[in-house]
Parts: sequence; structure tokens; C-alpha cells
Amino acid sequence: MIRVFRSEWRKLRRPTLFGGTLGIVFGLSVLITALLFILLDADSGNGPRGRVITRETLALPSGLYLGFTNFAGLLGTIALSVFAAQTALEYTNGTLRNLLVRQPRRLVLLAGKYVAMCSFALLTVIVSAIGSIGISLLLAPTKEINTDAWFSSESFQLLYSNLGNVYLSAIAYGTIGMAVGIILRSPISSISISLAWILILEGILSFTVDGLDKWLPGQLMSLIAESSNSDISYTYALVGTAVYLVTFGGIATTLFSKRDVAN
Amino acid sequence: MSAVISAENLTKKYGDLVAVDHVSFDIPVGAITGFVGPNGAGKTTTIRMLLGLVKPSAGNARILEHAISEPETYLPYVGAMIEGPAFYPALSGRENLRVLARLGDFPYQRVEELLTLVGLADRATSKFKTYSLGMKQRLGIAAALLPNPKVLILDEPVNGLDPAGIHEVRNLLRTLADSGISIFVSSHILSELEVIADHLVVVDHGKVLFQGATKDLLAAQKPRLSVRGGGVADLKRLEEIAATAGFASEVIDNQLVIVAPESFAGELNKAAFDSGIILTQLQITRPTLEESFFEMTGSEK
Repeated sequence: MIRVFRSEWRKLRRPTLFGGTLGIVFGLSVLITALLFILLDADSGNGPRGRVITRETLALPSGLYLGFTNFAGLLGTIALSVFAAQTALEYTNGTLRNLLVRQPRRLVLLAGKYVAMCSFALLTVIVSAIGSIGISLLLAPTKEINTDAWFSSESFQLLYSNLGNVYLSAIAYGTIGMAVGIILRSPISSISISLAWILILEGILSFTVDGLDKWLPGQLMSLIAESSNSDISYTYALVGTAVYLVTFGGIATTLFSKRDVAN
Repeated sequence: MSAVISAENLTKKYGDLVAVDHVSFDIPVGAITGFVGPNGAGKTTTIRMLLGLVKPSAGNARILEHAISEPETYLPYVGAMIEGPAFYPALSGRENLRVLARLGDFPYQRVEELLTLVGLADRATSKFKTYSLGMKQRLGIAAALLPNPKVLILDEPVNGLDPAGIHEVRNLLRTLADSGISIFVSSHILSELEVIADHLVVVDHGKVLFQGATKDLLAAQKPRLSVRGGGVADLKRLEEIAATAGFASEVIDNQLVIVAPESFAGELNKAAFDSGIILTQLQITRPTLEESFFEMTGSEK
């Protein structure tokens, strides 16, 4: 599996994908976090969906990584797109047949690709965290935010747990992307259908049908990154996401290992 | 081991469509074996089954004495290019080979050797998407050679190549076969296989029509005598002479083509002279592989 992992990384490290994705992740996390501080006293709000995040909230131990948490959903969709594209492209390029000739154990190939993409996702989370925390440290003094609590042991503990949750969430999004990529075998279809479901349909459904959001995969995966919300616990989100991952992952793994490679 | 690849009643069905129909053949060691048939004859599906990419509906095959149900046992010794070269467009030729080298645990030095062998060393850093079709084919052959294979399976390797490229591939395959590699090469370009293949497996509509030495197939076909006389009347008379001797003939492009053995040439020449006909042409032609194929399948060009 190590050979598959290293082989996959030769593809992941191509400049357009590696530099492009990490650059976008870094830039967007810096931008979203910067807006949190720049719009601090604006009437329109400074958080996601017009939420007002006060100076006092930002001064809490969790204030250090608040911008990073706000960016978690976008990180998830980026992970989903990368996992789906990297998997489905093997079908559209016809390269899967080359890979299977050199590594006929299909489950080993799949596992190696998955672990490689998970490591790539970890890199995006770390780069995003560096960008977000870095700009927070730069902008906090300019907005007269007390940052004493940011350097407490509680803050660091929360940071580690938050990093872990955001990473788990990104992996969950990525796993769904990879599964859909295998099922549909087309990067465009995989990404567009997945994103349309998570970003549009789930939004509409959760607004129109009361209580439905606790059953929707995108909502549950986002909640892992946010740790919880007032209605749904972290454990519930974790278990619900796991059920979706096992279902999608099981279907995709079965298809990948059994399906004829005819393209 | 007399056969590197041995297929027995290999069958693949897609619903009601029988893509490969109880195909049986043996591929000898150290030879170039052509896998001949028109597009849609079942060549690629057969090759995919041999490589473990497609599961047979029935039958079985063995490569290097390993069952194709366990591809991990023989694929480390097999090189393959299936249905044209498939690579990552945004990666360079070198990087594409390194992806596969890493996967198969082959040293990068091997990549450099192969890039030189197929004449791509000077374009190794160019992206695959910038390659010409001929360069793509050559990269595909390089990828197939990565494991230093005992068996090389190539599906339509000369597709899209110019005459010089075809000549290069032909020489390369001969060199590889002479070094002991058994080569199984499919093509719908029958004239190409006629030149390079020692053995042939001829398929059409999913069935094997012939397998054996190329020379045996060609020798089994009757030669033709192409004759020209002074005019239409002479051709008419020559046709009568052929018919009297028991040979069928037809006029094509102002010449009479007689399906007859070479020995009839002298007899025909004498009979024509006795009839006052001066032959302006008497040519013996052997059927090409393409003509033999059409004769076997009963179809026409």
C-alpha cells in the first residue's frame, strides 16, 4: 500500500493541483478570517450568514481559531472536489487500467489512494489553520481585542480538538466525494451533483422541512467541524456521518473491486 | 512451458451481446503473435480479460501458468498497453512513467532507459497533453516495458503512427522478441501484422477463426495469376483457357485474375502462345493476410 500511496502523491503534487489548491485554501482562509476582524463593528455582521461575532467572543480562548472554524465548510467542499476528481479522472483518462495492471489488488489500490488523499486533506487543513491563525494574530491588536486568553492552555487544547474535528469533517466530505467519483466515474458529474446536493438542496430542505437537517449528510458533516449546535449533539453528528460513510463507502468499495474496467 | 498464454473457452457476455464467444488459443513462447480481427471482433475484451480488468462470463485462461483469476501472480511479469496509451495529461512523460514505476516498485533508472529506448528522452519533461499521437504511443510502449516483462501484450500499438513510426515499432518488437520476450499484439491493420507476426490468432464476431503460424495461413491460400493480353478478345480467350483447365477467373481492371497454382503459369503461357496471344503481363501473386482474412470470414472489403 505504501507504493500506491507514494505513486498517488506523484499525481497530487503536480503544481496546478498542489499549489493551486493549497494557495486557494490559504488565500480564502486568510480572507474569511480577515473579514471577521475588519467587519467587527459593522451593522451587517462579521460572521457567516450575517452573524455578529463580538469583540468579547473573539477575546475568548476559542477566538484564536474562530475564523478557521468558519472556513471548515469550504474546506470540506474542497476536499470533496479533490477526492472526487482524483478518483473519477482515473476512469475518464483511462489510467485506471494502467494502475490495475501494476497493482491488481484493487482494495490495496483503493486504500492507498484514499490514504494519500487523506494526507493531502490534512495538509489543506494545516495550511488553512496557519493562514487563519496567522491573520488573526496580526489583526487582533488593530481592533483592540484582548488576546491573553488565546495563549492559555485551554486555548491550545481547544485548538487541537478543533483541528481534529475540522480534519474529520474534511475527510468525511472527501470520502463522500471519492465514493461518488467511483459510482459516477465522471469528475464533472461527481463534483457538480455532490455540491448541488450539499450546498443547494440540503439548504433548501433543511429550511423547508423542520427537523430534517439532523438526517442530511452535509449538515451532519458540517456539525462535526463546528463540534455541535443547539439542536444536534457532536456524537449524533459523528454517528450519523459514520452511517453515511459506511453506506457510500461500502457501495463504492464493492463497485471498485467487482466492476469490469471497460474504459 | 509451451504456451505463455493459454485461453480455453474464454467467454464474455454483456447482457444478450456475446463479445467473446468460447475463445480458445495458445500463444507460443518467444514469438510475436498477432491478434487479428476487425474493430468489434472482441480483441480488446479478450485482452482485458487476460489482464484481470474484465471478469470472464465463462471459460478460463492461464498466463505464465497462472490462472487469470489471480492476476497478482503473473502481472508483475507482464507489460501491457490496452486500447491506446492512457496517461495523465497534466504530467510530463517522465512523471507519468514514474507514477507507474513507483506503483510497480521499479527503479527510476528504468524510466530513463525506456525514455531513451523509445526516443522520448528529449521530450521527457513535456506534458503528455502536448505529445503527438506517435509520441503518446511510444510512451505507452515504454510504460508496458517498465517491468522488463516476460510477456508483452499490446493492443493496437501502431494506431495513429506515421510510416516511420510504424517501422520503428516493428523493429522494436522484433528486437524484444529476439531477446526472449513473448509478444501478443492486436491490430485491425492486417498488413502490419502480416509483416511482424510469427503466429496469428484470427478472430471475428468473438470467435477464433484461425490460429497458427502466419506462413501456414498464407500458404493455405491459393495464389493468383494476373494476366494481360492484347485486348478484350484476348482476355475472353484466356478466360476460356483457364476454364478448360478448371480454374475460376475474373476480369479486374483490364486484366484476367485466375485463381490457380503457380505451376499453371507455364501451361497458360504456352496455351496463349498456341492461340496467337502475346501475353503482356503474367504475374503470380500470393494473397495478403487481408485477403486471406476476408476469404475466411466470407466478407468483402
